[in-house]
Amino acid sequence: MNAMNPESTPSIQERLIDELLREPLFDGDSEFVKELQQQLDAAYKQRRVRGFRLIVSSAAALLIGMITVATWLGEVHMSQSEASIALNRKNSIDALLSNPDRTYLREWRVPDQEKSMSRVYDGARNQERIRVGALSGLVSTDKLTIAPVAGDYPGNRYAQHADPSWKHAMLAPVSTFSIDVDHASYTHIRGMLRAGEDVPRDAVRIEECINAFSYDYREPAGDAPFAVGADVAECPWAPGNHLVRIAIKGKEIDTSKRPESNLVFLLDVSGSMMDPNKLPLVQHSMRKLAGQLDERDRVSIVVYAGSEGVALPPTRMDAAGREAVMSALDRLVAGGSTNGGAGIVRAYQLAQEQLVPGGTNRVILATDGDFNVGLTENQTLVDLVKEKAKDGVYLTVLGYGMGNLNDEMMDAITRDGNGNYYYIDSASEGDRVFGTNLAGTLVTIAKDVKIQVEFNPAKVADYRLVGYANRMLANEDFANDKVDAGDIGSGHTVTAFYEVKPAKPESRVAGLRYQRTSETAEIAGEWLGVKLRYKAPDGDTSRLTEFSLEQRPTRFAEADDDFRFASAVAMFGMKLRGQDEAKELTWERVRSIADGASSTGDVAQRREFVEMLTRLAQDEARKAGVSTESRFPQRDRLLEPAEVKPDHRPIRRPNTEIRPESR
Amino acid sequence: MNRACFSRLIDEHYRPLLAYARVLTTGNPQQAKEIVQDAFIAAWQAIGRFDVSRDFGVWLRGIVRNKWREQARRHSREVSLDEAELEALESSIRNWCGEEGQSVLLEKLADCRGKLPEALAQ
Repeated sequence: MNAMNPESTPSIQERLIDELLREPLFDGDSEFVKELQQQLDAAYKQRRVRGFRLIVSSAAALLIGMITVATWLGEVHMSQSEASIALNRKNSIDALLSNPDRTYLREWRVPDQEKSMSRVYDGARNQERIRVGALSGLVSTDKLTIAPVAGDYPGNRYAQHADPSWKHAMLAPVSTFSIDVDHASYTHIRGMLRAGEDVPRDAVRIEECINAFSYDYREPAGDAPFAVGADVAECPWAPGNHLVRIAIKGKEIDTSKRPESNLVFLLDVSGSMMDPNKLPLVQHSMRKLAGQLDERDRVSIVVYAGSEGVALPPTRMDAAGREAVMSALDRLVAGGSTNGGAGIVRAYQLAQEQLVPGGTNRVILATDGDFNVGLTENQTLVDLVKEKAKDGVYLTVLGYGMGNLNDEMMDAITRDGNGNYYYIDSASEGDRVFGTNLAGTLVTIAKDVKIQVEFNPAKVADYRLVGYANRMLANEDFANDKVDAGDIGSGHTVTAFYEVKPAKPESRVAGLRYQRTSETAEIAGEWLGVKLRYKAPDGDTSRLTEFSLEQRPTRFAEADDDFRFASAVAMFGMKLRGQDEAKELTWERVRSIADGASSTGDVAQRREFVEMLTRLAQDEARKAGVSTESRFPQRDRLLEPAEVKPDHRPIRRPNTEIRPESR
Repeated sequence: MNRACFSRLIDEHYRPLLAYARVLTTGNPQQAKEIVQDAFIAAWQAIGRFDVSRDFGVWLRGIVRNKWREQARRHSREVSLDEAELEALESSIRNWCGEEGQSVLLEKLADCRGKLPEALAQ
């Protein structure tokens, strides 16, 4: 205690509370602000002079900075330009904002509240941070590109990512990204569309939409953890362009042969979880999961709200154990604020104590998003999750509900952290994740899966990756085993599309000295080469698979159902993200493609998607009015003559397109 | 940054900041008021140096602390709180205020007051 103040018995916190609650503050409460304003007015006059100097100097600094960055980007890495504009935040806010399309600082007002959300791109750490708080007023709104937040869900938080842009195959022939098997983004969008809401652009991760559907790709042969292949067809949204598909299929592990597991459910029971689409849904999914487990498995339950606690100590899942889980789940009640940080630490501790070497060790976190107290910075959590993953404990994050969803954090902590992220919007989605796809959810078959594609400039003029906006990797990180990437679980399928502008033979420069390799006869016909690196779930060194794609582009209408369906989903994502490439696309067209390809795979899930598109198409038609319809009656059909007669579609050829050729 | 924006910031922050200053000055309201007014003016003048990704309240309290030390030095008074206590104070105010702004803070405090012993809850 304080030596100067022996008489002050109340603790410093108590004194603070006391002062904060003093009502009125003092005699001249209102006077205080008035006085201050007058003093500020006086100071303001001085500042205008200083401010002018500041602007001049910051403009100079900005100019130098931009030149440096431009030179650096030009020399080092064209493809990194969207991701790593090295901005020195401290330079000046004006400097950050002077290029609103590129800047990573965004602030907007949360509707009806004097609050703001802002995003700041931190160049030094190459990460984005988001804060919600009082209007800082540091950015004058007229300078901003206001990024709208979904009106009704001011609390949902999404990370912003620039879409991968068009790259010239000669200047930047190599493209590298990490796989992403999650599909939380799709489920979340589906929830919003069902509720009749607008979908904010940043909620859409195109690859997660595509990968939300299961595709009938070829099974891996022998001991290989997955099979990979590529094929090319005409691009359905841009006549003349091609669409290259890279398809991966993880080995199916029979549920009865899955290894022993040690699962810790970490359940958010804070007050906000009280909604019927949150805690009851969590209970439903956990019951479903517990029902699938058996004697091989052990489950513990940690709950957190204001404080964290163990609701069920590690319990073996025999009949009595399952009973114990069910009754522990039934007892859960929501209430209190969120102390996710302490909860996650406790859950990992339990998982580690019960670690099953060679088995499935996983913390399953169910939350509506916010970790208010404790470890709040995304980065600290990401570090924790990564570190624990090295010890063999992986993470599954289940997102629930709307309104408070911290999509950014949940995606961030599972992106590199050997984890997966699901958004559970309904009981049936819970059944899908923990019922039919249980092995995929629990069993990781390969980790840090990275894909590097090298385009042949003789065949490809320009290309762009569709989706994977936040999964782009630096080319040099491909072979660096220290750089984390996404995992693949049992039976998962991963699909990536590149939109490609074919090179025109007449515009080729003959006799180039340094591009000669592409002219040698045997590989001249290749579109691209694919390299894929992955590690065994418990390995530290990666293995490499390579193959190349040489094939005449299939006509789109003749591409297999999976190809057409997945490209419809890609278009869905592109449209929701407002990509330029999708400007001409109508929902009706996306719908018709999806509709024609919805009779294979998980038909119910595909039909549901088609129905969603039907509603979007109806809305669109209503908005456009009848006049547009009559003025451009042929527009959709002109784009795709082969689609006019859907009955004409040839029978799907079984998997001839997906041909991995390990070299 | 314009005056209107800054005024909003003042409205948002001045109450917790005054309370904070009063704890520092151990109940010398006049001195607390001066320190906070000085701090806002200093903040306004140095706004270009504020790192927008940080919490504005934390920054302001830093300025208040500096002003408080400066005043104590000027009046050859000894600073009445040691570093550990300052840290405890900062962490509790950060817990309560966080980045949520004043309205939430006051609600939470009202809750807290309910839990305090009679003597403190006046």
